[in-house]
Amino acid sequence: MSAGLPGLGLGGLFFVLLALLAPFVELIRTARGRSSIAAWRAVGRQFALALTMVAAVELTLRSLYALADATGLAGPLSERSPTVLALRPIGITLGLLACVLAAAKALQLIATIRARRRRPVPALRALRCRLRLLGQLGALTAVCLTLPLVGPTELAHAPVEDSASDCRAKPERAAPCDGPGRVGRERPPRPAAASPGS
Amino acid sequence: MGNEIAMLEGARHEVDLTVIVPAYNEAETLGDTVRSLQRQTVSPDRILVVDDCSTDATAEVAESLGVAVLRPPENTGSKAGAQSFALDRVDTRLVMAVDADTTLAPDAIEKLFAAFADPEVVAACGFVLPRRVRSIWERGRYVEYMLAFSFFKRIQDNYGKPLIASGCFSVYRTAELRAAGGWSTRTMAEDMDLTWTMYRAGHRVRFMPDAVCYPIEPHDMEFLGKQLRRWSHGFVQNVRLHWSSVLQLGYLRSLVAVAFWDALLASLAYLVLVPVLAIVLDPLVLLAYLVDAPVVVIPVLWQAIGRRETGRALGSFPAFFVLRVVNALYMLSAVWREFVLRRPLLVYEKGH
Repeated sequence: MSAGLPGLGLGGLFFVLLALLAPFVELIRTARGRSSIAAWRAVGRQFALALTMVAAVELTLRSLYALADATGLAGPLSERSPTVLALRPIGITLGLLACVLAAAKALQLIATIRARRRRPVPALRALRCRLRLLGQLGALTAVCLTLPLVGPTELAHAPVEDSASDCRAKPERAAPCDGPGRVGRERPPRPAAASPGS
Repeated sequence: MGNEIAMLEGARHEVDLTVIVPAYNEAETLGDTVRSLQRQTVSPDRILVVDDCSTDATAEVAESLGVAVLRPPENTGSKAGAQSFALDRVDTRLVMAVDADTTLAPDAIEKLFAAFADPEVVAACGFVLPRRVRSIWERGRYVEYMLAFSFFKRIQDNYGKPLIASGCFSVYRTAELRAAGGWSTRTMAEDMDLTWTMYRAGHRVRFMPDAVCYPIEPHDMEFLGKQLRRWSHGFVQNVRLHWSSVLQLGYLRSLVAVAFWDALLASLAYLVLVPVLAIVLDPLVLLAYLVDAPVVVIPVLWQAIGRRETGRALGSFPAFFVLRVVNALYMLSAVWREFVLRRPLLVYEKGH
């Protein structure tokens, strides 16, 4: 962050999770006799901050949904967020984070295996390896970019199970029906949780 | 608490410290830096100002304050070069690097020293806050630092791997610093390079939040651009340089992977994907820019209330979002130039 890294993105969620996990880590350290009151104080502070952040993000999401409801830009809140937390956007972001961490772990495994097999490589083969690696990286980037694209798109079509009856029941909210079981105007997407960039 | 005091006392008796202040045309700010070093509760044994062939009165200012001035035969070309020039002349157990535009809180060295009670710790860094908070860029940086140092860096420290021991204010064990090759000029972010080199050697680095320093941050776009270019290229260069060793260091691997994701793909999404989705799908997608605002505001306010700077923090808050966009642009440019065009940044441009 202090190196001028942009935004919070996945990093925000990563650090919030680490802060929420910190008491458990500290418990293990305490059991091993490697903790102190000062360490517990620091962990408690981080944990409290992380909890406050989660609550604040949830409050913000709910406020935004409520605002969208009030202005008629979105469906009612009850339809969009049936749980206490806005689990769907948080779930997508968590999934992304898991993918990134897994990819890093996979790279580590590959690097370890390659280091064991390392031997002199002819120039042509090195070039082929480089091209293949470039292709793999391109594919990985495409997947990574698709995920955030799929997330909001999927959210935009969120609960559609009873759209025809919904259309009949709330004519003042919904746009005119194009046909049976289809709503003319698509639902607006939800913003991704705690991660605008991811 | 008793333990901490005992550790601090132990550290205090072992003060054996040289401070290196690299300076190139810093006559305006160097005086404040040296005076803040001379007023410390724990005084360093020696203060070395490296006048890197300045064309202003940098050397005269340093000499008038009674500190030793070193002058290399020619300009070393970077902060790392100037610091390494002085490192050869250090004979103390510990060495500290302080930027010539950075002042320290009176107890900063004392607080930082507490980290060295642990023999495994080879480097320690402190809390950084902009000294001047006036322009939009300084305000953005104020919020960025408050967020990073009050939340992110503390967590990194708790898990044993602060991402960087900030170059503007850090203390090192001299022997281990020399063994690591000193401050290298092979990347534009010598502090990150050094920190990761030390992790690779199995050493520990600590972040001490009570040790506070106040650098002058870029006040205009010209200085900010130079600084961000250095930082973003430096980060990419360090990832390229250290990737194989970073992969083997569990927590650091995750930290760098997430940071690299945010640097590259989050920047793309922030600058391109969200606006495109807003046009293609729905304007409500633009709300994504606001969703993480609480993640920024909560730790910043938490810290600001303790420092009685609530008004300043709230007033500076919008500037952070502007700075974030600029950060993203520079980071994308750095990745493009370093990875795709293969044109690495090689010239150290002095900003602040």
